[in-house]
Amino acid sequence: MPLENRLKEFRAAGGLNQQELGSLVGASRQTISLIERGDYNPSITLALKIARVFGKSVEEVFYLTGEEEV
Amino acid sequence: MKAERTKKQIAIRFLLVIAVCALLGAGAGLVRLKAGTSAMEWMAGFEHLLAGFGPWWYLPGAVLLVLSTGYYLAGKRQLPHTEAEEEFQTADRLLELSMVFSNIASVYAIVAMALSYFAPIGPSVLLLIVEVAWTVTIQSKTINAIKVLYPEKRGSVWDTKFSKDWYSSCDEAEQQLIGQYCYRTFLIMNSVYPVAMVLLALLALFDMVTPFACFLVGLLWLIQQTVYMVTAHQKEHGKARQR
Repeated sequence: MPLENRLKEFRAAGGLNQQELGSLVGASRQTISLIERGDYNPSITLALKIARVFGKSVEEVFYLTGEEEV
Repeated sequence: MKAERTKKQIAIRFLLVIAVCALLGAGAGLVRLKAGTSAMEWMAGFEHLLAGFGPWWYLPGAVLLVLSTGYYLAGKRQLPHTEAEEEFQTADRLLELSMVFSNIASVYAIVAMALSYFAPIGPSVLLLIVEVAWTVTIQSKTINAIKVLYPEKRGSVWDTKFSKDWYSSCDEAEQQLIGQYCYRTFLIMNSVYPVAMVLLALLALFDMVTPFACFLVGLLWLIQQTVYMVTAHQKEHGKARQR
C-alpha cells in the first residue's frame, strides 16, 4: 500500500517553500522534495514534526492508498 | 520484488561461471605458452610496458578533472535560479556529477603516481601535485556550491573530519541513502576481493607476483570483513547500539 501525502498542498497553504519547511523540521530541501514526490517515506519522528508545523494530525498529512480494513 | 531464482537457474549460472573460469584459465595458459619465455620474464615485460607510459598515466586523471570542472561550472551557473524546483534538481545533478568525476580523479592520481614510478621523477611529481591540487580545489568549490543548495550542510574538504561532519549534517533520508551506497559497495567488493585473491594465487603459482601482493589484497579483504562484522556486533549488542 503506497504512502501518499498532502504535503505540497499544506505547504503552499502555509506559504512555505521546501527550504523553509525543511529548516523547520530538520530536513533538507531535497528530502522534502522526495517526500512530496512519494519517493521517500519519512520516519514517524519526521512525519510528526511535519504534521506539527501544519497544525494537523499525521493522518491528515500522510495516508495509505488502497487501504484495507484490518 | 524480484522473483527468487529456481534451482535450475542457479545450476545453469553456476556451470556458466565454472565454464568462464575454465576458459580464462585456458587462455592464461595459452598466453603463457605463446610468450615463449619464463613467466617471470613475461611479467617483467608486462611491467615494463606499464611503466613505459610514464607521465602519460596522468592524462586520464586530467580528462576526469576537465569533466568535473565542466560540470561544476554548469552547476554553478544554475545556482541563482534554484528557487524553482526544476533548476534546483538540475544544479544538484550537475554538482553531484562534478563530485563523481573529481572523486574518481583523486583516487586515480595515486594510481597514476604508482604506475609512473619508472618515469623521470621531476615531471611525475609535478603532475601529481598539479592533479591533487586541482582535485582538492574543484572539490572544495563544488562543496561550497552544494552548500548554497543545502545551507544546513557542514564540513570542509580541507579538514580530515570532512566525511564525519558532512554525514552528521545529513538528515534521515540522506543518511539512509548513504547507507544504501555503502551496502552496494560492500556487496561489489565482496565479489572483487575473492576474484582478485584467486587471480593472485594463480599468478603466484607461476612466480608472476610476489607473496606480498597476495598478503596486501588479503589484508584489505580481512579489514573490510572485520570492520563490517565488528560494527554490526557493536550496533546490535555493544555499547554503541542504536536506540
